[in-house]
Amino acid sequence: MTWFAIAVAGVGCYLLKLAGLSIPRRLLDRPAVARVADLVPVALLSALIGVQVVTSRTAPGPRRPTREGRGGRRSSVLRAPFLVVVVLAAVSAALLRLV
Amino acid sequence: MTAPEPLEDRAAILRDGVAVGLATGAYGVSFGAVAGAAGLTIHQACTLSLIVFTGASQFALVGVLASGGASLAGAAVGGAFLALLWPRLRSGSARLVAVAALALALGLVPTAPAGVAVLAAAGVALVVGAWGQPDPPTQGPLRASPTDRS
Repeated sequence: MTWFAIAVAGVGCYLLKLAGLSIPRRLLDRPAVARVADLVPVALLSALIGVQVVTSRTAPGPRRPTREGRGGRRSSVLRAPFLVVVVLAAVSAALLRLV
Repeated sequence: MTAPEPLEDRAAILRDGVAVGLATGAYGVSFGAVAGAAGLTIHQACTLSLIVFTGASQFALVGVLASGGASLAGAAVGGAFLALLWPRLRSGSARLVAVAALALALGLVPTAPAGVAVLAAAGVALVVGAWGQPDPPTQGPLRASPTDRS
């Protein structure tokens, strides 16, 4: 099941990239198209974060047992290192922009 | 490619390369941590990076695979999206789009499927981009780097 999802995602993302590369240059050179292309990821990421927060808050039912059960210890051990990694990624991205 | 670059150019290229490597590497480590927490094996996580080769959609796929399972992975996927979004918020129009898209998605999510809410929020970018005032695009080193694979 997981392998099937990985294969579908791989083919789908490849086709999407191919579609993006097939857009004619003169269309991409138009300022409005360039602005939209720049802003679409911002809108999608922002919306994804919001939806993620809301859906994890309104559906605490199936999550609670795993938090108190076996997954609880695992997540508390893993949570701190992950935050460190995310902060590290953000800091190195910021440093990269300064270079 | 006929003559080697001057020494100072090479130093700058090396510095940029190391910086890109560190940033991308840190993001890769965080993907590995999220994938592991979501229950993927090492081979599945590596194959995902190898053949899907995108930043945000890998995290999104892991989030879907983990839904109902690990709560950590769900929270971490949101954190990864935030890390991708943050460097893009430098222009005023980008911040406007982020806030408006967030509001639209949150307004739609009680009545519409989550996917529809997210796609509808992309319409905000269309409106602001097409009719907004000219704004210098947020071009930076990351824009052209492999880190920017959202």
